[in-house]
Amino acid sequence: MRKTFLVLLFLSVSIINIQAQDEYTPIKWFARTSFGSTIALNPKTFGFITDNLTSYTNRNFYWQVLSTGYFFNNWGIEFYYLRNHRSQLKNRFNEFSSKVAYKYGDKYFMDISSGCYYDFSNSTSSLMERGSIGPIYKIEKNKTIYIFRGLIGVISFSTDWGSVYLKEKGTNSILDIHWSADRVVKDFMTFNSSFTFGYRIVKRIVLDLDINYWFYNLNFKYQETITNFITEETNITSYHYKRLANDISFGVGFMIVLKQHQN
Amino acid sequence: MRIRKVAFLIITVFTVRILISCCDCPLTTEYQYSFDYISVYNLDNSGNELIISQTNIIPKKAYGILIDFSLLKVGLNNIQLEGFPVANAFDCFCPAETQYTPKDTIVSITITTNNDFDNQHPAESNISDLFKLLGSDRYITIQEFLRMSEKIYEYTKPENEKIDLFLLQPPEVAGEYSFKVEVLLSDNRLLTMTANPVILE
Repeated sequence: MRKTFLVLLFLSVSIINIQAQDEYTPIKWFARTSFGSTIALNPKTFGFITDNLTSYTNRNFYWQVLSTGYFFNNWGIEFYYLRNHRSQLKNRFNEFSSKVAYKYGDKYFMDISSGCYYDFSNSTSSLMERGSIGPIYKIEKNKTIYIFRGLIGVISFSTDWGSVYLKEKGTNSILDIHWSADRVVKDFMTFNSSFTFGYRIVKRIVLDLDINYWFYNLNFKYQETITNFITEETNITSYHYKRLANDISFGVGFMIVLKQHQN
Repeated sequence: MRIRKVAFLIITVFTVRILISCCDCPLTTEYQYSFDYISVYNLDNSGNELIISQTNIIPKKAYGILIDFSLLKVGLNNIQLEGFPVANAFDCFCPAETQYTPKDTIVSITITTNNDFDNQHPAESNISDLFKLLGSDRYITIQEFLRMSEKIYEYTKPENEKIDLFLLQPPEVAGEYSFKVEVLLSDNRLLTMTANPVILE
């Protein structure tokens, strides 16, 4: 195993050294992928009981599934699709249940359910997704490449429903509480600036260091409907998630040069 | 041309077979059942699960009455029910081979107690308006329940049918109470039963 690794390492270094002798021509068309960490610069939780019903998190990992760009000269255009993951999102139902239990558990027997229960499985509903498109500008000096982006796009995450059937301890009183967002999946327009530093390790492969910044107007509501079975009264409370949100991500990846400019 | 004829023949036979099989509903045997007698129990709803009280000491806000109707098979009507009004391949529902329909229905449920309950409900007055049944999204009144209580059982008839009545307006004074339940049926029979005395605390 170690021998195989050493042989592969030797071959890789040799190829890099051989390729390094080449004269690099400017990149025209590329595809790239990267992964890293996304951090919310302002907290995304609002302290509402519904916080865990969304797949909207303060910190998560991202995988830039696909990005492709085309340079006409130094200017070009790029599109990318990125997914945010967080293993803790699969515990959303437990966290939601804990919050409900903390609020109502002393006084009521509870039967809790939620759409995020199904995140126990390998469901993709617990993800945040981002897609952006826009102009890019590169500065390319033989092996090193600097790419600046000013993109617009969409950030999207799921908003699940939740409900709890509360039977008051020691009485016949029953409350039914239902939480739902005004739309199931939330899409927000984002402004996304980004910078990539790339180092060309071979003619057609570039190692990337990426910094992404997103700015968007978070604005959605959760509605809490409490129905009292005895009085038949219904109380509705709105939880407003409104904030100018900022996210930043740091990641590494590689770029494949699909086409180069002809000299 | 020959292929078309053969295909037409196969499709026709297949279609006729589907229609015949759909129309081939067995005869439905209809029985009737009647409410024979009732048993009444004190319910304790103070815990997570509703239980029949063994101690007959129950929090007054968590009291309920279980009425257990014993059902009796009383008649046989051999009636052939139509499987569907229009015979076509998309209407292949056949009714159950055995059905049990009610011979009589519940007209009213009256609950009285031996003690003064509150200002509006002195001893021996009807307090059934203080009891409700649990619906899917609210408590429903006994009158609402009676409007939809006629049940048709398919294949087998249960030995009894139970309804849970929850006391939603507890008595002003804690103490011992005895609840008498009277069920008036459409054939003018009156089923009566008194639950064990219960201490509502």
